[in-house]
Amino acid sequence: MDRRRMPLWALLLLWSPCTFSLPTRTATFERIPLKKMPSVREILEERGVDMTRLSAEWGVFTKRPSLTNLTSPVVLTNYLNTQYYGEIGIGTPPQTFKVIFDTGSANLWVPSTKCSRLYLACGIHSLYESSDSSSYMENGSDFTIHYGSGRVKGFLSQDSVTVGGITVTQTFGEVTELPLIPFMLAKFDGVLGMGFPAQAVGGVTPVFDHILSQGVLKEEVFSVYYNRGSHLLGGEVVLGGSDPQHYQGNFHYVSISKTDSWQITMKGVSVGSSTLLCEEGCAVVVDTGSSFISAPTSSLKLIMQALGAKEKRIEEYVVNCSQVPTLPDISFDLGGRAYTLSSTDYVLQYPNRRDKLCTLALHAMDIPPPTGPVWVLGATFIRKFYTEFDRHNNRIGFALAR
Amino acid sequence: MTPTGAGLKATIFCILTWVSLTAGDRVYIHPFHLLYHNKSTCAQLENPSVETLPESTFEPVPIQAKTSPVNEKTLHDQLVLAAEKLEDEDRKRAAQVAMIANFVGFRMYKMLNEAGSGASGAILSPPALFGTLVSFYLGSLDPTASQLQTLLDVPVKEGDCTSRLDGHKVLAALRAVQGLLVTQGGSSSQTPLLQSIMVGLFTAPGFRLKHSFVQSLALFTPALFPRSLDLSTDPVLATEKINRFIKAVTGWKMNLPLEGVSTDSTLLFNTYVHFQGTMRGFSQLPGVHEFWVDNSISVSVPMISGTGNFQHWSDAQNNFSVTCVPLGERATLLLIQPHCTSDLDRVEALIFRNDLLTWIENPPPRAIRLTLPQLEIRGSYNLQDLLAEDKLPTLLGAEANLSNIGDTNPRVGEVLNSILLELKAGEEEQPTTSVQQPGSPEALDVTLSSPFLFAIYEQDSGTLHFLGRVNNPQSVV
Repeated sequence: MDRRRMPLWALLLLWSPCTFSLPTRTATFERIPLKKMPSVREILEERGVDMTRLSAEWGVFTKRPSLTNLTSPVVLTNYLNTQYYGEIGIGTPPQTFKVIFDTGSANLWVPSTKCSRLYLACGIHSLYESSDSSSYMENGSDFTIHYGSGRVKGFLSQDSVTVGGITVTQTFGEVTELPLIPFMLAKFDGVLGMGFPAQAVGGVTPVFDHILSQGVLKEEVFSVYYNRGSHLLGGEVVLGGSDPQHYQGNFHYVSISKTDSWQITMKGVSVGSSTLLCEEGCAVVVDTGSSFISAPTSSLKLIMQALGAKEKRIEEYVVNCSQVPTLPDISFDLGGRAYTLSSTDYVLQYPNRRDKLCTLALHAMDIPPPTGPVWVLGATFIRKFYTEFDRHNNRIGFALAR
Repeated sequence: MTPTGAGLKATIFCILTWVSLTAGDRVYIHPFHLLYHNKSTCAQLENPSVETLPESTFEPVPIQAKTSPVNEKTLHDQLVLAAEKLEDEDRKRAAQVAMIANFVGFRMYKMLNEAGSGASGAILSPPALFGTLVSFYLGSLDPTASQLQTLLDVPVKEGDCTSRLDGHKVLAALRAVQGLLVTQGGSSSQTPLLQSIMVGLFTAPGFRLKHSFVQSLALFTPALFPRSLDLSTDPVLATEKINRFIKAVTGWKMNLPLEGVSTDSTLLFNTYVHFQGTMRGFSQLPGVHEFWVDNSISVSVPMISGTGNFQHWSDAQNNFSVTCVPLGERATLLLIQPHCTSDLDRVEALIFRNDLLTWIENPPPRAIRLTLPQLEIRGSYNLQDLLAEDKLPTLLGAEANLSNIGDTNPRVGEVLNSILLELKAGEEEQPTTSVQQPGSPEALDVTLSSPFLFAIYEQDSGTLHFLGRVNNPQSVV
């Protein structure tokens, strides 16, 4: 497919008048590319999204008070409640890529034009072309990243990367081996890892760490909102703060249990009123790049027994759709507070369908020590709980999403 | 029955769930580990118990040798028998193979369109195409074997046999997929779906095939015909001989290519697929009826019509309608029609992609009076052409290492998939109790009198057995 290039827009046009009271800031003005709407628009329109209403809201996100104390939103597209992705630019002039903002990993990668045609998945994604970028610098080191669902392989390169209007010089992966599963189903092109430097393959400094070192953000945090359904705003990542429009009440914070990943301790998992698991404590990763909730196989089976779910086809659990309203809640004890999902939260349902069997958004994932065993709270959890990732205080904040 | 499409969505469940702190830190299990060689088959491959004797080969009999016709009923019964014996692991393998076959099928269908398929329509069989690729994988050595394995989405680790695709398991799984399509539970009074696949291996005189390769292909279909003929003196005559042979052995009225292949070819690998479906409750309309090829040109074609409870919905945003017609217990015919006659390309580009099944909604069935052309769709494609269209011209070309096929490396002149798909009205009396009478004011009238897309989908394994479009049914009858 053709690579879309974003034209540069004069940021000056969007500044509020108070900016001019800081003349020294004006002197350091630099052009920052803004998000080009149509490439997200074409996807949303494909799904019948009302563009008029979205356009009205769009303008809100492009206003910024100043070049410091930034809170920078990135709009996300929601594909079937399983893939949430936003746009970044790489290179000069910027080449646009759709990426998942993934707290479970720490590398940025996109497919490369050097990917062999034998990898059919590269044929359907945007490809980075280094020769088109004047800010490209060669690196060439090999890299491989393993995910629970597959691996990608390629080599490292350096270029300018723009996220939410903030530009950094970044070492990232050019992927040359992109497997069909799951990337043939991926609506996103690549992954922007929002994890810790220790997680990064190849000793690379993650994008968010480069942004932090610029000192432009209001707070050393980012927040994630995942909407339900594909209408209007699919979701939002806010760099440097959070968006009170999308949560209610205050954040409740849980300290991370390791200083090098977004991992916390869970003190219990309950189905209905019975605590079934983790009373001695379980490791939990809050992972924006995961579609569902994952548990070790032996733990998941206990939950499925309690729910009366059956395994179908490839490690997929289903229940009779007519029973969904009567299924019990599932609660996760995090930092002394119960975070509860009702059946409408953890069962995949599509309004236009009248299936007999509904799929559960809970799956098995066995990761061996020392990394595992871990539970993973993915999009299924984040849709209900707006999540703030706090690098300054090394904690994760949850609030009820709205 | 209702296609759920859950199998495709389920594969997304683990996207990006976790990353190890270091690359070698964790045990990675590929989603399709059921398709790999296990340790025992690896031990056999690495330590042959017999000293390295030359593998036994044979020269195929001449194409004019007397050959018994294919018995489609026998093939059907064998498929049903095999399907009824499937264990859980077999079904999981079938679902895995179906998933990859669907992806590769959509990709090659796109290439088929970009290569400029016939003006009358197009048809592609993902399982036949995938079976062909896997067959060549079994006949190949590195570097072609690794390239094919990559195309078939199994990452290759140097020197690690347990990361090698076991082509035998895949071909057996493809056969299971066929069995699931044609097996009917319950009522034996229903006219069965029939699908027959026949493979012709046409070799130049003197070229010897390995017994092991031919035995592997039998896992995919027992209707396997190695035949020898002169491919170099007169290529057009050779093609005519092949077409006559196919007609004599199968009786299928296929649209076979007429052009000759390259004179230096030593092997043609041709797969022929015949699908027969009966639409229960449908009958042939008298005479012929108008089908609009575009806004100004129409042709007259025989049509069939029937009233039944089918799922039907319109996508007003994207301007197309979908009707789902059950074909037996597990299979569904999807009929997709754009609201504007000239819109077929746009709707096809939108919907015939890897997430086709996520477009499938599931409204309650309603009374529909459905009218469509009687379908006898014929199509052929050369897989070498599709691969060349996808910038892989050498994969099965002259430089390919296919030394596991014969005693010398063959030069492949053609890799053909030919398809005949027939959908006819049922002969039975129309049921009078379960459906409303024709012309009932409550039945929605759906008439396919302008170009449309179709797919045949089997829900247990999640396989798309056929993808196609009908532009001009007159040319395909």
